[in-house]
Amino acid sequence: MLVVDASDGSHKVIDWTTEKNEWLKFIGGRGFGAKIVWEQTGKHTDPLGPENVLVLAAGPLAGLPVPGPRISICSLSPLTGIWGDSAVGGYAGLRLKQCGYDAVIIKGWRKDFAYLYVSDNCVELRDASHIVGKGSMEAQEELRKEYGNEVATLTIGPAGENLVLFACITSDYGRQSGRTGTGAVMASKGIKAVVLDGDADLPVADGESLLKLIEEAREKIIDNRELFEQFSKYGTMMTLDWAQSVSCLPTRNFTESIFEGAEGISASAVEIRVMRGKRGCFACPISCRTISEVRLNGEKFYLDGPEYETMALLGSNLGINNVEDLVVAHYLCDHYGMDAISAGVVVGFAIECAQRGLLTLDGLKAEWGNRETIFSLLESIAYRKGIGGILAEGVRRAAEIIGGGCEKYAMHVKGLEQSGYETRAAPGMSLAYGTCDVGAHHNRSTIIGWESKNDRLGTGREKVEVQILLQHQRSLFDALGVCRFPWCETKLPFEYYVGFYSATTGVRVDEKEILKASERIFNLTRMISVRRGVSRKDDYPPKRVFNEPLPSGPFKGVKLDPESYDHMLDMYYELRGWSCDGVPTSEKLEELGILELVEKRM
Amino acid sequence: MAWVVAFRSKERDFCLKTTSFKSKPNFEKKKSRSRRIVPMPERCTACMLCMVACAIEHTGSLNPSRARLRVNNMLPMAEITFLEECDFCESLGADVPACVKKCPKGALRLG
Repeated sequence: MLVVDASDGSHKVIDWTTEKNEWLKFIGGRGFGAKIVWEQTGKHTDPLGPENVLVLAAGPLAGLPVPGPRISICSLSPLTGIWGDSAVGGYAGLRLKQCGYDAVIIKGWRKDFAYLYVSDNCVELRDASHIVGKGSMEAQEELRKEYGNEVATLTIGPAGENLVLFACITSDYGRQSGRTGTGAVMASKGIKAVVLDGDADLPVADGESLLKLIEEAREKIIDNRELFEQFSKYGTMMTLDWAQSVSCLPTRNFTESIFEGAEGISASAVEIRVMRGKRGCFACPISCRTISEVRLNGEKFYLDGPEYETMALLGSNLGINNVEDLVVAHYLCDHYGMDAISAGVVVGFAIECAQRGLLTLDGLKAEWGNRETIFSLLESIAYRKGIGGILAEGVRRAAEIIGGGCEKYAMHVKGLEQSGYETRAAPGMSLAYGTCDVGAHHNRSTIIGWESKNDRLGTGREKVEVQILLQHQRSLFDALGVCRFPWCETKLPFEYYVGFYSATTGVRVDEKEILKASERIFNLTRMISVRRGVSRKDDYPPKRVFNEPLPSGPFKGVKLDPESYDHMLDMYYELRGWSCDGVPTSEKLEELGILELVEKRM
Repeated sequence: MAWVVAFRSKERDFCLKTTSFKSKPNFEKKKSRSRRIVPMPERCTACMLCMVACAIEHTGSLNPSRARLRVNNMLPMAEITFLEECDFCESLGADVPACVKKCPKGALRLG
């Protein structure tokens, strides 16, 4: 593990294997991130101050030919004030591991921007004056000119430099570590980019078994012909049609769940009108990423996208009904380096507030789908111009600043803007957003798929149990450092990942043990947030879900019943072994083997 | 067959790391060979499975940086280049080179 002090570039290497058993409990990736953030930050740490840490952590499987390496970027989130992490695919996980590190920890801060160059024999902060002010992809292009096309880069754009609280970190032409404002943390440390220039071998305990398993897994993925071909062709974009059909597509700032213009931004519209190629991450036969052509101001650009979340939040949620405008909005978010999910929610909130007379948009028309309004707002957020300065604070703080009761239109949990599922007619998904450790994010659980198939409006125990299992299963992938899509989209059995882990590390585990480790990480990230004031009161979905019935569609008139939700939350805490205020009990922490760690730093 | 997987450890300097892997492509040399691999970058998704297959075939390592070809994720099309040491597996006597066999998108064709 590499620790770099951003203030003077000094660094040291920590060999975590000297305390191997202590670290192995957390697997790697976001698990390592959780342990580091827990130990290095405290109750009063300012997320944008020098005491906060930015952890880039690749899990044990990242960099091996297991489909899709992921690198988790963890820190205290400036947007939510609590634990924040976001994972990014592409090639960064591979290159970080090839530099010889499982994690890079950046501490301290500096005034002028520099970029961090890491290779297997060099760690250096270098002058970034030539890339400051550049868009995140332009900065990557510059760095590639300098270091060749084989390096992986993590860059921030103008939004990061201007400390937009939902700024993201970009890798490989638009793979985004989008959520929780990791880009702002990187900017606060004065780091414009990280260049990962490694090409070394990775250690593997049992290469022969690993390779056999990987080959088998790859065949299984490809043999699942229908799912494989469909997902390779459209990636997550195909979720849009599904979301529309089951009435959970966020539309016009989550006021509705069905969008009349969905066809115009659907996967087939993208395919016919803007798609120019497909991409897969390292070692993944599924090519879920789409390359699109973007026309902006008469110039041609290319975008790594869109995907479902951006289609929903920048498309239907803003009333955009054509792919040409959608890809421009997505491209602008990528270029400025800000989370397209949060940006979509913030702009939607601004338009709704302006329509209700609570806000003026600096002379822009408060109209859904108005491209000038949307593009201009995105720009003013990135540069914190005019009203953008308020919106750049995220929807929770913006609502506090604007006042006038507009917080009921602010779609967030714990300060994190809600991602692409409307949940008034989905109690399970409401609970997923409410209890996700970073805020309203679908990464930990998208139980909406399960509840649509099995029991859409139910609030029973089984649903809560599935919810907890999903939270452990899905977040495990970010700890292992690989993509979850082969498992959840092309149905590669979960036991393969258990096998990959055992073969790579030489630590024989079974499914139960590895899920226990995932539970341990989930409890520790909860404790990071509890230490900073999170409790039951923060585990509720946005107010709109309880107050306004759905205006149309098969669930017309449905809204979430607060009592049922409370009942589900009680069950959730009970099943998790948490107190009724949502705090993990000592017994639970003891059972997970982290009581001592927690008590030391509480 | 036992796969040799090099360990990255204190002895890593001995892991064939004497020269940079980033050799320059040499197209001139290819023309003299009796067969060649035709890249079709418009089909390539830059997943590097060809590089992994090549590295395994020729060095027994899982490290794609040891491969004899390079794939870079560029926009709008990926970039595929063959390094000087690549002889399209002619010397191995393989009917179909590993990279061609393992490409999931048919972006490499033996010509």
